[in-house]
Amino acid sequence: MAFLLLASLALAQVERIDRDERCVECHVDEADVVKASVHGAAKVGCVSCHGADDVNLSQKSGNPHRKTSTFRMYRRQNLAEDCGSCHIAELDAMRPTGHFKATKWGNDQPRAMRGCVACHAHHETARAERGPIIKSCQPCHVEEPRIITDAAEWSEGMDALSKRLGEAAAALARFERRPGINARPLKEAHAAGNAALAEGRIAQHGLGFKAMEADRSRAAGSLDAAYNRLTSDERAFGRRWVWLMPFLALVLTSMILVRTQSRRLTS
Amino acid sequence: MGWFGERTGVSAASVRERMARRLAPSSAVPVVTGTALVVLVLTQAVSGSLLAMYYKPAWDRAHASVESILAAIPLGWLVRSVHLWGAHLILVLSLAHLLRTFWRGEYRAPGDLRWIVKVLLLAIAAGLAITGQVLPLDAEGHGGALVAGSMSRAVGAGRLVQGGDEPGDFMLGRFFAAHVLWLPAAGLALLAGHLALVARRAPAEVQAGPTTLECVGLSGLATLAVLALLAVFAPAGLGPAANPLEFKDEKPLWFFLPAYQSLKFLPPLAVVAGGAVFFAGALALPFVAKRWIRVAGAVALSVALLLGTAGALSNRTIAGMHFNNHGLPASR
Amino acid sequence: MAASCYHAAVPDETRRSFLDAVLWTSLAATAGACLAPVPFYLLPPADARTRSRAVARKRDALPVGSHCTLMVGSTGAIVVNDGTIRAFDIRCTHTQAPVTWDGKAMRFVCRMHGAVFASTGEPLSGPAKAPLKPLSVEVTSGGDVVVSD
Repeated sequence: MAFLLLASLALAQVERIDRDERCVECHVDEADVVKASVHGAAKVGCVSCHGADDVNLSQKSGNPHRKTSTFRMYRRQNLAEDCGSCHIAELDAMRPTGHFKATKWGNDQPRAMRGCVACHAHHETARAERGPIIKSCQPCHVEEPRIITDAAEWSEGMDALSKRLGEAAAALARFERRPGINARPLKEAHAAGNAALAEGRIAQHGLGFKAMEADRSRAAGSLDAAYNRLTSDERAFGRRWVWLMPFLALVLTSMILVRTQSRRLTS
Repeated sequence: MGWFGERTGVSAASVRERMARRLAPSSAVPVVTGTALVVLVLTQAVSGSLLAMYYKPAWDRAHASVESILAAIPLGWLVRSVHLWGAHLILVLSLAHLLRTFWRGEYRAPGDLRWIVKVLLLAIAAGLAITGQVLPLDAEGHGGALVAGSMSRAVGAGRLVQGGDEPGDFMLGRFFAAHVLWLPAAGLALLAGHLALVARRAPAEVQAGPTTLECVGLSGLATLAVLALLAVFAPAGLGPAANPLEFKDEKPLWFFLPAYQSLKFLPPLAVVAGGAVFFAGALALPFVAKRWIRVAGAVALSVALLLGTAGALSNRTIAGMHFNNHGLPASR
Repeated sequence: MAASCYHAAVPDETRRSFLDAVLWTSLAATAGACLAPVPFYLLPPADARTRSRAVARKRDALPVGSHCTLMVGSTGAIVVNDGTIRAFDIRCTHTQAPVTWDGKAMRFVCRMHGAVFASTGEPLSGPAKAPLKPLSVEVTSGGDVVVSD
């Protein structure tokens, strides 16, 4: 009996897996999803999030992971801090919110929240889309529709700002350094708009949509003003030939008068 | 006008009489080009003075000041475009004006002093082009400053032209002073002398042909119209600021293309010497009364034209044909 | 008595032309004295040479065939890797335009008049005759590439 036990132990192939390439040998699907995501592009792989583990490669059934102390299978209660170890600013924004408190509640609580993966699916970690998020707000906030509409309005405003920034960038590429057109206000408004967009994307984890509204609409307002000014400048400049016509008419008249005077002098 | 005539000796009657004189078509041509040049010089003086009110002649502020002239100052783009197109037109017309005199052999006595003054005026125009191109400090201007600095160092006048050991702030200041004060002062003095010399020579009175008034008036007005059309429909732009770590493929003003092309296979000293020989030869022309002068002059001009064309074509692809660095067709 | 003898000895013409000459010489000397400061004004003293150093990049960010440009003091510099890390004054020795680096052919090309230099700075073809001015480059223990002139 002891001999069989020893033999089985000797035959067990327990290996320390601490490189992404080894994880991928079994977890092919997850690896594909991560590789296509922003984490894959940033070279954040399996081990960066899940740590290293001892795995029994010869085990045929059940979970071959030994789940050592270096292994992290994400628990809901710690998820925000774990993601926040890199995404520090987002975690700081989220910390005072009710969402953060909800991640610490036990599984028996109906409104216990899953943390970051509630909006940013794990492994895909895509930028959260407005439609699915708003849908996922419904189950908990069904009694508070105002909250959901505030969030939806904020999100629409951010999308509009992003679109306007794209148009402004196209206008800048056309008009920078063209004569008669002052592109500097639009350039500054564009930079400020980009900064506001980036800040808003982080700060929205703090859920204070009404408070952030003022900053975003100010940036959008100055961007609109600069863009309109630039396009009206460009239209005015395009009409410059209209101002040229009277000058040319004057020159032509003077030429005719010179001819007439010349005739008079020599007759 | 009697009041004026008593005090200056120029009466309305004498002006009218002079203006009514008819000119033979062959004498009318230099009057037409000459009047155009005088009008252009005046517009350059006015537009240049206006630009000088906003331009900042410091190496780190020059480009930004020209940018603000184009973008923020009302009608700044118009003043700059007039100045730029006026410069191009002056260079073309002075060359045409001078070449006509050369081709008709009118540099011989008694036209020799007039010829010398014309050559000196062309030299001043070239100097204004060299100094003016550098002032905005865009890629073209920066290249011009580098070449001017290395050419001046090649003849030992480096410290005089650059105000130091390399192109920089002092060089820009000197070029600005030359472009705005020294060269225009010399040019206006020479122009006044030239006009006085021309006024003394009375061309033969003819019975049929345009009157002097027509030549002067129509030519001057046409110049203004052409300048306005060019400035409004082809306004001057501005390239990006000069970067000491990067040189984009900018060619200099077309007037300098022969020198640019020669620099590709000659050291700067040889190019400066070539230019000096060109001008010395032109100045000495009235005093060397030999037949082969015209042939030598024509050869020199065709060499300059060939070099200029090669320079313009070099490193370009035209209608699918690629030209190498020396302006010769090359396989891509 | 003696004065009148003196006056009769020198004829008027010679005296007049002599005084003319004196007058013109004095005027010329005055004009020369007025203009004498001008050459000193126009030719300033030579600039003092100061040494400077600057950090280019990390050694790992400069693989073979790549380059980077930076300002070292008031001079432009270009750092290339053709097997060894080298640094040169970026100004072409022909008319001082900044050169560019062709990583595929491992050589410097000046876009202004077409001068070509080898990766060691030697002129290969084109109008430049002198090699590019080398600058001293060292790699610190932290992996930084430091250029000094």
